[in-house]
Amino acid sequence: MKVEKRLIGVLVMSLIVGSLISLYLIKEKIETPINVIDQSFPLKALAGTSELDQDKYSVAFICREALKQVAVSFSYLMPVRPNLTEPSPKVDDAEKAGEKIEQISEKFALMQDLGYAPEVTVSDVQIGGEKRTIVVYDFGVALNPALPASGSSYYATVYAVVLNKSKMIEGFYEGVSDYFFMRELSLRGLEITVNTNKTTYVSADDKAGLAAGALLAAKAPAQGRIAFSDLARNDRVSIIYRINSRYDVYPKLFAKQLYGKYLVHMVKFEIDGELARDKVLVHVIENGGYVEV
Amino acid sequence: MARIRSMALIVFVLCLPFALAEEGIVPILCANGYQQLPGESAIFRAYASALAEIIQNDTTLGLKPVVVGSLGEFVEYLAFPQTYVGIISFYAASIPTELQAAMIELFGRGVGLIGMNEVAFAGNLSRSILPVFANATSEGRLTIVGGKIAMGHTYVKSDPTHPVAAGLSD
Repeated sequence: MKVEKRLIGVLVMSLIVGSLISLYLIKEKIETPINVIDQSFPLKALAGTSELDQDKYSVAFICREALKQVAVSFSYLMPVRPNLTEPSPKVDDAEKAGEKIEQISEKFALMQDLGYAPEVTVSDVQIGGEKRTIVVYDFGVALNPALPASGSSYYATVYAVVLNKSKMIEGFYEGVSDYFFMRELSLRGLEITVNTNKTTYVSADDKAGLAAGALLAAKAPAQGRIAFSDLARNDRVSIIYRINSRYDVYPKLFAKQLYGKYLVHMVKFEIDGELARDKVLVHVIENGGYVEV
Repeated sequence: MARIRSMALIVFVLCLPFALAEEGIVPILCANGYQQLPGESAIFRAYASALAEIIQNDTTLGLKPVVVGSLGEFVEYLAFPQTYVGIISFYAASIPTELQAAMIELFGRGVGLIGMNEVAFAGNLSRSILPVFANATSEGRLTIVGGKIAMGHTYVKSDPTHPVAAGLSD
């Protein structure tokens, strides 16, 4: 029996197109129903010198379907000792690494006793041009409801371990479930826009902003978590916030703590109480105030 | 006999969760809160470890000390339901108002707090949650005691009828 070549061609084409459609449909199912349409962060944070210098962070998303609740959470992390990539390792580095792991495990165990667990995310990042893996242990998700919101930019609720290509620990990060550290000093402004509805928060010294109807930054959504409810399909949401980028406005001890070369900024999306694992944004940012010693 | 045994087994099973329950924790923070002098942090660490050892060695307490490194972490630990009491030795002026508010809120929820050194006698926390042997305290003032300059404090019995004031001199 002779089969026409054209027919085989049509069959093959139909198979390919059919598979592509199925793959697209499967992907649609797996992917969370929001699209991140914009994200920005400074390449070098805390490098400001003048009164007006601010670091701008933003994220925007669009809903692909009607959603009951979407929450966007920000966290900020700074490196803590030991840094195992330093050219001249310290004698007690190994001991310090052990202490840090013990500290994380201790908190882990306490939470497990209560029937909770930290939210663990694994992401690939570029640090100094090298590919690294960052494992983030977010205790804030479970702890924040029990913690007084006023201190959220101080609590150490987020930890991260940086692994190199051989999966060896290279460094530790520790941070807060908030827009940045020390919110009362750092947060200069926050704009939350849902379609055309904008809510603005400004710092207490922004008299013009306050006179124009902006709210006080101290009243900005607590614990770096902004929740939206009853979003419709194609609703656009954008969040922009600005951080004081001058090192000298922060206490000396804080500036001393920020000894590392890189900082980590994280954005997570929660849809109807579930973490959108495919939308975890991890930004590694150069520390503008870093001084090589 | 079998009935007694089964009763004993039931009692044992019912008591098991209590027997296996985690011991209470005691977060300890010893620091000054400002840029430390060389070697100072080691002294504070040793101080915190010594306190932790005392608590750990007293088996009658059944408490587990946790030495923490920052004020934020200390306050965070106070929120754990397992926490009985927190021990803090700190420089009061270095405590941000946000964390002071958080500590006052947690104290109101029932967690115990023991303040040592400056935090216990100066600033808002000394008035709100850490009055030592009195119902109210005032900020310390430099005075001369026994020919030497020392920080002096006034403890006020604002409510002599309160049980905490019992046995205190006027």
